[in-house]
Amino acid sequence: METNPNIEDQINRALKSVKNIEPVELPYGFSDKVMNRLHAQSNNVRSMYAVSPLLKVAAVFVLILINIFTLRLALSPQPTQSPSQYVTIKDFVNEYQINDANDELLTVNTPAHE
Amino acid sequence: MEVDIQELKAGNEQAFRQLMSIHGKGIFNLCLGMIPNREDAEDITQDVFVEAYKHIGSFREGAHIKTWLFRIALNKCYDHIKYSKRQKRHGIMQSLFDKDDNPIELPSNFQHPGIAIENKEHAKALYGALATLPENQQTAFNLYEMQGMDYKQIAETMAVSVSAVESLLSRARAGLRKKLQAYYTSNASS
Repeated sequence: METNPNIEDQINRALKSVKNIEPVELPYGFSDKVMNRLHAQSNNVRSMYAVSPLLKVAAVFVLILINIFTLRLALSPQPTQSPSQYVTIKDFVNEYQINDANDELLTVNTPAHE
Repeated sequence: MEVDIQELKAGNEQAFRQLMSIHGKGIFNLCLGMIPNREDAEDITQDVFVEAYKHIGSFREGAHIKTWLFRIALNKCYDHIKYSKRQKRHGIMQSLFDKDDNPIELPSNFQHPGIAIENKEHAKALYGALATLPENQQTAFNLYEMQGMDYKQIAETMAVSVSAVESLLSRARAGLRKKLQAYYTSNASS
C-alpha cells in the first residue's frame, strides 16, 4: 500500500523524535530521599519489633485469664433447681386449685346421672 | 568506576550512595523512556534503589550490577504500566479486541523533560503507539533507540539472545509504523 508522502514524513519524524533525547539529570536530593525512605522503613520495622514483646506478654496474660475463668466454670457445682421456681409452681397450683375445681364439677354432675 | 559489592552487602550507606550516583541517572532515564512522566519515573527509580538495598544479598557475585538494576527497573515499569491500565478500566474492552486493531491512545500525562518541544507532539504519538506493543518489543525499542545500548547489552539486560533482540526490534519498528500510519491517516482525514 502506498503511503501519502506527508504521512510518511510524519511517521519518520515520530520515529526519530526519541533519537535525540537529552539524558535527564536525577532530581535534586534524590539520594537523600531514597536514604530517608530506607531509614523510615527500618524504623518502622524496629518499632514493630519493640512493641511485639509487650504484645506477646499481653496475649499470654489474656490467655491465662481465659483459662482460669473456663476452669472455674467447669469445676463449679451445677446449680440445683431454684426455690423461686418451686414456689412458682406451687403458686400456680394454689391459684387455680385444680383439685377443688374437679371435685366441684363432680358434685354438680352427680344429680344429673341420678 | 564500580561499587564494592561486599560493602553493599554489608549495608554500607556510603557505598549505597555511590551506587546511586553511578547508576541513578541511567535508571531514571530508562524509567522515563518507559513511562514519560517525570514524577512517576522518579518514584519508580526510588523504588528500584529501595528494592536493590533490600535484596542486595541475593545479587550474584560476578554479575553486572547495572544489568541487575536495569532488570529491577524494567519490572517496576511493567508493574506501573499494568497498574495504570487497570486504573483506566479499559482492560476488559482491550482484551475483547485484537491488539493490532487497538487505536493509539495518546499519553495524558506526557511530561518527558528530555524531549525537545518541537518533537513533543510526534513523541507523544510514538509513545501512544509504543504502549500498544508487547512488553518485550517496547523494552527492546527503548533500550536501543532511547538508551543507546547495543544488541549485546540489550540481550544481556533482557536475558535473551542477540538474534532475538534483532527480531524484537524489527517487529517493534514494523508495529510502530503500522500504528503511526493509522493514527496520522485518521488525523489527516478528520
